[in-house]
Amino acid sequence: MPDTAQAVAEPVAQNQGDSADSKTKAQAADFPEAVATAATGAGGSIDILLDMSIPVTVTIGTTQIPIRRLLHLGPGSVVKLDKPIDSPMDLYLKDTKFATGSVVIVDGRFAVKIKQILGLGDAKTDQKQ
Amino acid sequence: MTQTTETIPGRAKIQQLLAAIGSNSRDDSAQVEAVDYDWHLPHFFNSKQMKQLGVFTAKVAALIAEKFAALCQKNFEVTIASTSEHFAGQFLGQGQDNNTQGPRNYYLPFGLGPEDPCGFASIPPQTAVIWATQLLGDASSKEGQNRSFSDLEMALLYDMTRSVVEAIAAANEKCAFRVSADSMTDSLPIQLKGTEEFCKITFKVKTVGSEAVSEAHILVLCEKLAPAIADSTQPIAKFSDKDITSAIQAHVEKISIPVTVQLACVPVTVEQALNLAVGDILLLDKKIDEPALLIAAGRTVCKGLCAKSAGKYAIAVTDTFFETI
Repeated sequence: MPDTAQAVAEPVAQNQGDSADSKTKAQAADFPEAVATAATGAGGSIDILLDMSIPVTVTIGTTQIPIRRLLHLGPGSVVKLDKPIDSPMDLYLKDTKFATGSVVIVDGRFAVKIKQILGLGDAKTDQKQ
Repeated sequence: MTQTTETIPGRAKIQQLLAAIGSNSRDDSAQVEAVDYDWHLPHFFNSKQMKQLGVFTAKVAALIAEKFAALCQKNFEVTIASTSEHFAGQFLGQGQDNNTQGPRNYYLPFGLGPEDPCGFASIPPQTAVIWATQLLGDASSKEGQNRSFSDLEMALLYDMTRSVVEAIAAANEKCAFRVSADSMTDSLPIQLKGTEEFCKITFKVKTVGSEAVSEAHILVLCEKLAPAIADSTQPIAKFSDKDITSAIQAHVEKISIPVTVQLACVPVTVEQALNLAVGDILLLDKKIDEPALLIAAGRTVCKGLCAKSAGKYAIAVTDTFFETI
């Protein structure tokens, strides 16, 4: 049990009688020990999170580059990536790769057409670097 | 299949056969000697340098004998008992606890300048008694090592100890140490962190014809002692902090790190994500003439246009953000 701390406030009016009123006692908070037990809940539904926003990131590819070369990059530099030109783009839900797709143009803007949802059958999931 | 022992040649027979063809078997008794590496001690000097240090300390010993002789008008024999390396942490407990019972060593700091002590002479109490009295002819003093010294005795002890420092300086001009205190002290005279590497030279002093032997120590930072033996070793170069940083940066710059080219990032709700299916088109909020981002270590370092190079995706850099990161 933690020691009880006692803070003594400066008395405002010492001649008003009860000196106990001029003292504020502070006691250390003591939280009970929590013991994990087997989950008994029926399990929540993701429905309560349906309106939560998650960033979807489309990456073209990755590569390893020496720091020296990275620091010397400038306008006109070309960084070749590891991915062949006919490979699909990777789509990440936050940091988790969840799909692949191909880039298309819709009304002058980039869009991606879903080619594969990962996690189905033999597809592997991946973590964003 | 079994084989009787009679068909297997014995060790003696094998030796005979090998001798007949001019080959000797390896001596099984030969053992490889292994010496424990003491991690508690520094290894600033290699074995070759330690030998050179031995030559240097022998010269110091001879000079101490000369200086003591000149000071006391007697002949002295000074020998080096040991030369060893220690981390300063081993000394930190010495001479700092004022409550420690019993006699304590006397110290005299020295260095290349008065403000830069790099070592100290350490005189055990029993040696202090000998040096301050018996070696100076005051044989009448038979009191123990616990007694306090008079001012005159402390001055004589100081002179003796200072001559030790002068002997080091005379042995090699690159170790031109000078005492950096006007009197002896009974607490460590140098501020130590504990990781400094010290060379401890223990020497014994004896008056010729006498049996009384006194022992004292010289402790010097290894790096300050190194120039004394540096003639035949690698030159000790001095580098600035900037030089060191540049050298390390050159190594760091050789490291390859992963970079990612991100075409776009668009927020979707969980409901939209759950409803995605193959064939769906996800609109990205980016015009086709807008650049992609090159991301390293979570930071956008460049932007550029998507391209291809030698059959692979590429990014043609149009701008960098190194200045703003």
